[in-house]
Amino acid sequence: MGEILDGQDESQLILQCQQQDHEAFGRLIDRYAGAVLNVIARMISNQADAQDVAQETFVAAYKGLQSFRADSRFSTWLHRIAVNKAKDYLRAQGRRQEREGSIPAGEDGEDPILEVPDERTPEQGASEKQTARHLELAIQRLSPLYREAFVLKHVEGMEYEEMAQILGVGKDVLKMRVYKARIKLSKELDWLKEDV
Amino acid sequence: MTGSPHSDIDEEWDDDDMDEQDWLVQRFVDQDLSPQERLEFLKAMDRDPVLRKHVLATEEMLVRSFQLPRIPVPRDFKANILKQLDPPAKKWWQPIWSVLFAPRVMPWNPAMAMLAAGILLGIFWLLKVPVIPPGDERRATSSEVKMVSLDSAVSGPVMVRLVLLEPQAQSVAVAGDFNGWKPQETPLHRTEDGAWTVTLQVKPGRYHYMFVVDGQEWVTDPFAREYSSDGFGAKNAVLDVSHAL
Repeated sequence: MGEILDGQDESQLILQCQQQDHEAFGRLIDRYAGAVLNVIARMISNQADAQDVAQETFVAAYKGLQSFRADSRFSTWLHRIAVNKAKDYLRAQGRRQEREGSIPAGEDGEDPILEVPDERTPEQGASEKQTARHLELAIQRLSPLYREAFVLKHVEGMEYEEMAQILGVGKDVLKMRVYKARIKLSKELDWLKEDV
Repeated sequence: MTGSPHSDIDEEWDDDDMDEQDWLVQRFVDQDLSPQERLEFLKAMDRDPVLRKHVLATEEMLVRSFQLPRIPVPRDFKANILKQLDPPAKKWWQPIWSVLFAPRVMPWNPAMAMLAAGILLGIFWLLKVPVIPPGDERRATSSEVKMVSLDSAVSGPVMVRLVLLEPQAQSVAVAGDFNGWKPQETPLHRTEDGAWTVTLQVKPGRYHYMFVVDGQEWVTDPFAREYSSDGFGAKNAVLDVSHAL
């Protein structure tokens, strides 16, 4: 997985995919499966469903490749599909939970979000592993708009420019979302430290 | 210092969520401060342990975020995707190819078999292919010579295969113009069904030849395309490879 492709190789593979070459598309899957799966998993907080959504992402990408033009990078275009698929999933999840009456609408008037329980206990906090786990849960508790911005910026290590293309939102707006997410998360970890 | 522009940028922004110090910390982390702002911020951090702690907590959280364990890609991930894709477009000739070469099971019965045999015999008759009835005498009926040219262009050497069906023979050789009429130089080899065969490489031209059975009996190829008298009352077979067979 994750073979190294230069731009020319990737352009060639995309051309082959547009001619319905499954083997070429398999190489693109090898290259991007990890990134796509991880972004989606962080966004929807459900690893099993994340795999399905990630697979849907690649199938949609294959079907949409006929219309792909090189006016954006393939990875940007693919991440945009992944983020939109994850949002579709969250909306469907929210509607289902609203029908079942279990989850209230999300904060700040956003789409309903998947609530993640706060599992912190006084015994936790010392180990690196536990801290990582708390951080993951804290990220999951962020509202979807802040979560997607934070994950792309600080888990996947993207630049604001690319994030803006993926999310279709201005850079300044994205910065605000990242700032707010960072404040919330650093406070969470600070709480942990005080608790040790 | 630059004030927070968030109220007119982010529709979801709640001013209670972030004070002026938070705003500075975030811009410091993103390296968005001007040199003068940065200097003032560092001085403030030097004076204020709470601010210092705030910055450190943010930086630590970012490092930990980047180091979060990656979710491994399941082994069947790619296969599951490829299964869902439309089959690749077929080349124009592929449907024809599959019709011609797809294995089929054909029901049959004796009547159909006899009909098929009759059709085959009719085709052989039309093409004048010699059909040897079973049980006939050895030489006249079971001997057959085939001349096969693997190269229809006759500018270079030509491969010719001679076949004689002689199940009773102990040895068969061929003598002719191509080997100086020395039968010992060109023996034929027996196959399981009693055929004797040899493949010769000859230059284009006309060659007279005869088979020699059991080292003494000179036998004319009964199915040669052409014959010529040997001057002693018998006839030689003629192999003509001066033009394409």
